[in-house]
Amino acid sequence: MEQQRGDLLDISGLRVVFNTYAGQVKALNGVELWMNHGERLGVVGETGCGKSVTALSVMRLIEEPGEITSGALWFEGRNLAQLSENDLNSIRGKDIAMIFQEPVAALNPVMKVGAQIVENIECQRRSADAGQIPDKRAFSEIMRDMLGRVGLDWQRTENLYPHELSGGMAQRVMIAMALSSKPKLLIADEPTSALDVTIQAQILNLLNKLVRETQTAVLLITHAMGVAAQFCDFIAVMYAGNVVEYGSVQSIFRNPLHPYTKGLLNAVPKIGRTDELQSIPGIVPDLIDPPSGCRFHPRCPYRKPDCDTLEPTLRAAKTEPAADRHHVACFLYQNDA
Amino acid sequence: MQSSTSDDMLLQVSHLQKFFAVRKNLYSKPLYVKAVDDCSFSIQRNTVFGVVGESGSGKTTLGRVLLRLIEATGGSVLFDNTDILSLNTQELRLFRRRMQIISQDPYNSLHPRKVVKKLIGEGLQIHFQLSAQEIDTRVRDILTLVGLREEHMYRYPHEFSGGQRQRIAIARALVLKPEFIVLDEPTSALDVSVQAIILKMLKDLKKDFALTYMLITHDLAVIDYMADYVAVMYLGQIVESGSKDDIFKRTAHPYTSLLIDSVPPPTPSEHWSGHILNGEIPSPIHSPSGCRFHPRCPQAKEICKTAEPEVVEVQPGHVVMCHFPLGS
Repeated sequence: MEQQRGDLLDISGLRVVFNTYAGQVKALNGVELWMNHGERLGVVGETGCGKSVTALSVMRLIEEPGEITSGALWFEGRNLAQLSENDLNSIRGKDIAMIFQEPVAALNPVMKVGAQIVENIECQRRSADAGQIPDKRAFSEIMRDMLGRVGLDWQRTENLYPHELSGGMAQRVMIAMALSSKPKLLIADEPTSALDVTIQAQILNLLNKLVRETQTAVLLITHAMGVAAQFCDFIAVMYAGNVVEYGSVQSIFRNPLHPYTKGLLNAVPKIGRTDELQSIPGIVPDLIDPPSGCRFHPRCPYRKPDCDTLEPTLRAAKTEPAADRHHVACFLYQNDA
Repeated sequence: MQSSTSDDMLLQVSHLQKFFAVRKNLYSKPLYVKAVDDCSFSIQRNTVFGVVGESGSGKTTLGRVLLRLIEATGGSVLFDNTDILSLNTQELRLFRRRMQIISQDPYNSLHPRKVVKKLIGEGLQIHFQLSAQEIDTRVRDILTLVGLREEHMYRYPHEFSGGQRQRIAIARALVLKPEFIVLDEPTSALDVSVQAIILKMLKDLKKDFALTYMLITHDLAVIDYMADYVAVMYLGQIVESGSKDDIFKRTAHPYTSLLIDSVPPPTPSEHWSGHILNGEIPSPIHSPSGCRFHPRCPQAKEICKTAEPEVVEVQPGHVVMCHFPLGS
């Protein structure tokens, strides 16, 4: 077995393609990222950069016409990319749980909220203690306890149907369901993007409290730089199917190295900001026919002659403390190689 | 209340109301959703008037009532000193050209079966009765202005990206040489790097064409970047309005203050989210008694539950609807 860079999750060289009528979409082009137990990693980037595909790959939820063509997904020493569907089901929902952007759409519309959570707990237990008679009353207790922890009154909530919930309440139910198995990793795909800022703040606060209690690591997918900055310990910046920069939240926001990260941070409006917003020239490339070499080179203000032929790899930025894990995939920082 | 009638006010809105009737069934008495309830404000020429609030606060309805895209229930809207709510259809048509709207979703706001030239040129035909040749030239000019190319004239909306579609929507509004544009969440559907381009362009266009904007958004950072004056809406009412600095630096309403605090700043910091706004925006059908914000307000006292606060001017031009404004 290979050495894992992070003791919880280590994604290396992950490539995913989607075979469409228009051609093969090279959605992920060798994604590299890793995290330890209890850490919070934010994956940021713009629409179509591969954030969600990365998250779905970890759950092995990439379906036809998509396919993982190469790469490894090490999770606590096991390569998820090579596990059988049966083995995966003992991990999904139990060791790795997931919440989504549209909480109401993610819930079963014809089943009461309480029953859905109980069903979920039952599924997890069935694989854990096979053969034993399920104790339904104990499951209901867990469900009620979880609803309480996410700030909902179980007596009022357990008999509601998803359409009777507001977006914020539905996301709380999703969180209750996801954390009821005390997962080691929670994947949150844009958990607050559909919510108002006030509700977003409530949900982030709640997640913050709960994952600290359960020591759950979080892989947070978001396009909101503010959410990533406040919630995460580490950040991975993605562009056109690659992680272009990775490091501690401080190192990414205070000392961004990759030209794309710099451009992205300069485009974010901020309360109290007085200077003009800077935009990144050009548009996001078509991943059916991505640019050669560094996929950012057509838009890069610092491009060098080799950038359109050679592909940069994610390497440690040498000037910073190792604890920051600051890595960048750009030739500007790889002169010595 | 701002009651200036001077000529530099392009739009003066007073006691504007829009109620929607909802019935449980055919025979029940209607209940009213007070989407816009007694809103008064003025918009100065060549300024950006920002309207901010949570979903369901009535921002979008306010914008649409101003343009008479939906009919108001009461109140008046003086556009250039003419009450446009009392105009008949023919009189209104003259004003339609001067007031335009750019809406949030560039995927739904453009007719899918019309080419760009038709989308943009249609207004010219209706309002100016121009020759085909003249329309052609004007469409070409406006496309270059918004950063598109001539060859885009004969393409359909589905061939464009979100940012490009929003450029088409901007071109369609601008080509009629309007004075007032309602921007309803113009960049909410776009990525940040595209948002930056569109916002900068809107700023430049405003300068070049002496435009007046009403910018409706839920994003306070966008308001701070674009607006000169800001109104904060809650359950159909304007609870605070004033200059941008009044709102962000001399915040008077507890709701505004909590709204600002709930935005996560895009730089890592240890001290974010000390204050959390509890609860959710209540149903606009059964809005709370007294001050509508009292169930969520950390400063609420007895009087807030029973008496609706008056609109008070804490400083010239800075009005707030609260019994106990902050900083006083």
